[in-house]
Amino acid sequence: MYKIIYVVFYSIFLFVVASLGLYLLFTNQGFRFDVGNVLTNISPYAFATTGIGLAMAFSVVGAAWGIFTTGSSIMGAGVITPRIYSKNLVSIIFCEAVAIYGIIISIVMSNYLKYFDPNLLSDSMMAQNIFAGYALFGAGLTTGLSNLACGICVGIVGSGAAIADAANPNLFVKVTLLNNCINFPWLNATLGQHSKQVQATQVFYVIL
Amino acid sequence: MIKCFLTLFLVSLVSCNEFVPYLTWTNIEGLSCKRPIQFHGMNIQHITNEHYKKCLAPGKPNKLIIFLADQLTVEDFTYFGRNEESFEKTKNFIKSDSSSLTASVKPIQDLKSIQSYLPGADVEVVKLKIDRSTFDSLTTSIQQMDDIVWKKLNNIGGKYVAVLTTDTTYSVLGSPAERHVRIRRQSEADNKTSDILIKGPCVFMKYSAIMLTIDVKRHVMVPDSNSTQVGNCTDGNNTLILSLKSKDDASIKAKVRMDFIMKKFKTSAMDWWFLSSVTVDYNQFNQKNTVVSLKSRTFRDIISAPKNWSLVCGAPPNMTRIFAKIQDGTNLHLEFTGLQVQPFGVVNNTFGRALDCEGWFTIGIWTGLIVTLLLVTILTLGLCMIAQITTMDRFDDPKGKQLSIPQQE
Repeated sequence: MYKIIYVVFYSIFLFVVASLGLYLLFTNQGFRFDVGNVLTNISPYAFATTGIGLAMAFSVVGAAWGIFTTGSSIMGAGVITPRIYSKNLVSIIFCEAVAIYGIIISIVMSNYLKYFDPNLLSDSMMAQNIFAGYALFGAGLTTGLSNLACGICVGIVGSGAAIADAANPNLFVKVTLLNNCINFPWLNATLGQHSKQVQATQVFYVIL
Repeated sequence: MIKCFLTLFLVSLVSCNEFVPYLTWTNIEGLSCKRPIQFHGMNIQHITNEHYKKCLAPGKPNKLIIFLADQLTVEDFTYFGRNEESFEKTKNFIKSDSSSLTASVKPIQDLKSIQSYLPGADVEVVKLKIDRSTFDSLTTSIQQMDDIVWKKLNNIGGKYVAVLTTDTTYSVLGSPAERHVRIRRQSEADNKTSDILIKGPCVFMKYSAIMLTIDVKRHVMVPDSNSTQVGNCTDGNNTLILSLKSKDDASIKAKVRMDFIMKKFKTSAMDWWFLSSVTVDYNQFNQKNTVVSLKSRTFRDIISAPKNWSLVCGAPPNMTRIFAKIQDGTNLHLEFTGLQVQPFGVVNNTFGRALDCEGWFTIGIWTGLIVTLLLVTILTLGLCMIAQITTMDRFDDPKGKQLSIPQQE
């Protein structure tokens, strides 16, 4: 039943888009399909703030996913061996740290937003401001997606750690060390990527 | 009160078309009759027999005053007089009296015959003229008519019965449909303001208004003398020079020079014309002329259209030159309203196909759509994922051994 609803909506959407396109084509108004005009005229603040929001949002989703995986494993294994509860909390903390990284990055990015008056800037400065908006969007998106992946991975490893700990207490430390190793390269990747893009934006939001 | 005018309004919708308004009221107090029924299409006999003879005559009024307004119709109350102040005093009379009547009747020629139903009353007929030449004069005359009615009735001593109607016949007034068409045409004619049209040799431009804001003061500009044009029409470079002066203060003058260029653009592989520069040469209070070049980013991409097209823009964004510090110069904003311009390729002295500066979706709508799409996508994915979380049933075996939980740490 749901399939029919999807098919109907999709076909209506396709029909509208196709007829709009053909109308523009056949009435000699093809130039009105203007992607460049839209992308240069959308305020850079829109994209920059979307990037900031995505940085935080995706990071939190990744953290939540990881905690979900780890938490259910700890609960399951802890039914038989309740001693694992206290030690395996550190796996949950690793996941939570991913969310904290996302928040920190978005706060840092939001400090780069400054006021500018388009009428006072030259063309090249305005172009750089538009670029800065897209750069912040890219930085936020990258940060968010990489945090998402990291959170999932940390969660899976933490879940393995809980089950290993329940089987044999000596295994916990070794598996947690592995968790650390995941975090470190990821952290480098995220912050490095972010800082490169941030350097690009730093100069260009000017008041004057 | 609303019911009275609602009755009259409904009359105007119905196509029984030979009735005119008939308002009557009195200042006799202590009448024992109920408020008479009022409906459209009443016969005047009904009013005179039922209302005057049986209800008002026992009160022994001294005077019967008949106000005959010129070509009074229902629309005078419902459309022209819909302002709160029009007919205010007449409304007060009708509101205050329980035996007042608002009806619509067939117009009768001999209104003095009503007098026979009110014995003992002196008849006085007052003719009121209404000037219907323009909408403003009509509203003014309606108010004046109201004042005359009020003054007359205030100065009368004793008991009176007043009537407000018209003696013009239906053939002059026309059917309601004809009257409505007349009203519509009249209001359109009164609301139309003149656009300034420049039918130059090369550049054709039309605009409703130009406003020039010097620093913070906004001046409405009107043409000072005829505009001039520079350039032959075919080499891709046309210039229009407008000579303007301020409407309120003739000492503020400005010459606006607009340069249009036609160029082939590689990306769209088409020829486009655009406004490449605007220079304003103004002086105010007879001081030295100041020449300012406006920032091209404020108009270059907006006042632009393909070859042989014209551009229509109801409210183009202001063309500005602003400075960060006050000492660097005076801020200038040039604002057009209702602009249509075609600087190249005008055929037959009329504007070519028009491109609207405001597309179907504005930039704000696009931004909103993109962000909403992103949000809805993420939300949908998230909800779908959450919906498929289940508990593990791998070890569920209804026939197998039950789980034993040892009671130890």
